[in-house]
Amino acid sequence: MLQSVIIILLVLIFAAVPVAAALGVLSLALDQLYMNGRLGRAIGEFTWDKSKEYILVAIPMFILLGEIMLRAGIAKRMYEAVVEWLSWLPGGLMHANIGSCGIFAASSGSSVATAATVGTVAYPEIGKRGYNERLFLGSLAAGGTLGILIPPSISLIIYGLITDTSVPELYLAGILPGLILSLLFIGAIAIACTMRKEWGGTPVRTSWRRRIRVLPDLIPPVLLFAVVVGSIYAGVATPTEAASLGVVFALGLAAWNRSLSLRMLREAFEGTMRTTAMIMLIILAAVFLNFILGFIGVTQGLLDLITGLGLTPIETMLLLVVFYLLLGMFMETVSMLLTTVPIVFPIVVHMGFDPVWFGIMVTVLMETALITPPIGVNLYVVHGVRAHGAPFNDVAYGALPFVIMMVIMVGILLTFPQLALWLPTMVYR
Amino acid sequence: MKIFVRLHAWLENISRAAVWIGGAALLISAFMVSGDVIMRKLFSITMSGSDEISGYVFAAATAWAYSYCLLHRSHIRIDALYGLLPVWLRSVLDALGLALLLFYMGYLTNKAIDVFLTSWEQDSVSITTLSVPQWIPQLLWVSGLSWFVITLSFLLVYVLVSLLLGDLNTVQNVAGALSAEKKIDEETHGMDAMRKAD
Repeated sequence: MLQSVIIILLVLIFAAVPVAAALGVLSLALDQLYMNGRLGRAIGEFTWDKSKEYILVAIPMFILLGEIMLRAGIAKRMYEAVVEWLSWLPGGLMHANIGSCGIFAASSGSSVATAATVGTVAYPEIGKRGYNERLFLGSLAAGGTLGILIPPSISLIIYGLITDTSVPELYLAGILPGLILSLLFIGAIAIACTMRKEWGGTPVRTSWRRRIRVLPDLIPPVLLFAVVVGSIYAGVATPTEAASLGVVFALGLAAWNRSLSLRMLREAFEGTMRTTAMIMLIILAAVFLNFILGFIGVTQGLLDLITGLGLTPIETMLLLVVFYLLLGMFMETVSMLLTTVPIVFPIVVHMGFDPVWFGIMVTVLMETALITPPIGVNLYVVHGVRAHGAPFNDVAYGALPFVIMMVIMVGILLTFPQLALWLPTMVYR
Repeated sequence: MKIFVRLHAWLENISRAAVWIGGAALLISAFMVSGDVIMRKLFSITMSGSDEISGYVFAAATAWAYSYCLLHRSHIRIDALYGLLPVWLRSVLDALGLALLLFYMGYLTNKAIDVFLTSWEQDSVSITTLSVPQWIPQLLWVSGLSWFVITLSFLLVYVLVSLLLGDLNTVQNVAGALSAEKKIDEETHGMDAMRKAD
């Protein structure tokens, strides 16, 4: 039964059937075969309960927040401020790319929004300062992935939902690994540009006076971070409430910058609802499939199979890492998260791994999926920012050093799980 | 075929309007929820209810957005293999994908209508201080789902007719998985506005 479930799912998904339909049809078929269609009759009530779930309201709110920020006109000034502070390192503006992505990630829950926003502002600088184009593009694609690791993050909400893990704990757990990964990226650029001086472009001239003068431009993103993430940890707001506060704050910022208009709002609504519909249709189907799988005992069967292999927990985890790295080359991340985690999670917990730690691990693996060809959304986004006619491979090659850094990050997380667990343990346990 | 083109445009206009209304309703919910948080924190006044209402808004707005997402070909499909196939096979897979999505959504919507009818007949209300009659939000939700099923059915007929006529171009334009280039356009659609804002 287990094999047939996996084979049917793979065939449907790689036949480019919409992922939600593949999951939905599979659940209905399994229900017909093993439960005489008894569970399917409850799908209406089940879906209604999930559709209005308050914690999920955070998803459209965070997307709306990102859509407003994208159009609020704060990105360029923020980027220029970060340039003043980070471009003394070998590799110049590329460090500003990572830094700006990190800061933007701290107010946005989406990797695509992060890469698109910083990419648009940074791209024209390649030609002006003679950077190595591949590495520069790679730094943008990789920096963008920080959006789902540094809180707030939409992926961590979805993970929290399907595994019943606390979202605030996941958010706390993402902070340190997010910072370390940013440092690894910065290190990779610095090493590459020390070895090949010509990659680093013309240095930016700056002074302490200018550095101090641009500091106010960093206030809006820092304030937004304080509102959204701060309110969760101060115990003032739940993730959904924090996201709502963030939306109101971002709208205020846009108004302050005079970029608020009816047209801008309509575009933000279109983008928000399109992405929400895209994600929710899969979430609802995946949650129902998960319910069916639990009922007919597939989850237990898989658990027995894996325990039967006699692998140690670490061996199992390494196997999972390889599996995710491979799958991530071909699958889009939200569908990857939703189709695999419900099956994998019980195994991982059974083996004694911490649910919060595994959430961070999966997120880093999803970040890798975002920048590994042939299917890597962030590669597309950064490629889309460029002038037309240049080969897509440039971006994919440029992202390679950062993929290596992500694999190192996976190793670090495996060796020092405390990095993810220290903050949540201090605050909550 | 003209009738199909016109119906397609008509469905899209209504779906876009639904998305604007849904987005605006979510924005209003954000203000409501924020208001609740601020009142609770600053004045210790608990005005419960915004959580429940924003849940309903979310359910209805999302259901009504499915059609828009479909007409923009944004529902997630894994195109790693698909992209390598000849165009006629891709078109057949497009039709298959639509048919399976219609089957699943048709089944779900049918059961969702039962949920609504039961609430209507039994006058069910939510067990909260608001005591919202459940049929009201459920009607908004079910109508969005039904609209999606209508859009799906239309699109499937459109694609099948085009397939029979050998018009693979049309199939790709209305139901093909988005190419990388199109995806980029969709993902970065707001950036022109941003450039101007800066």
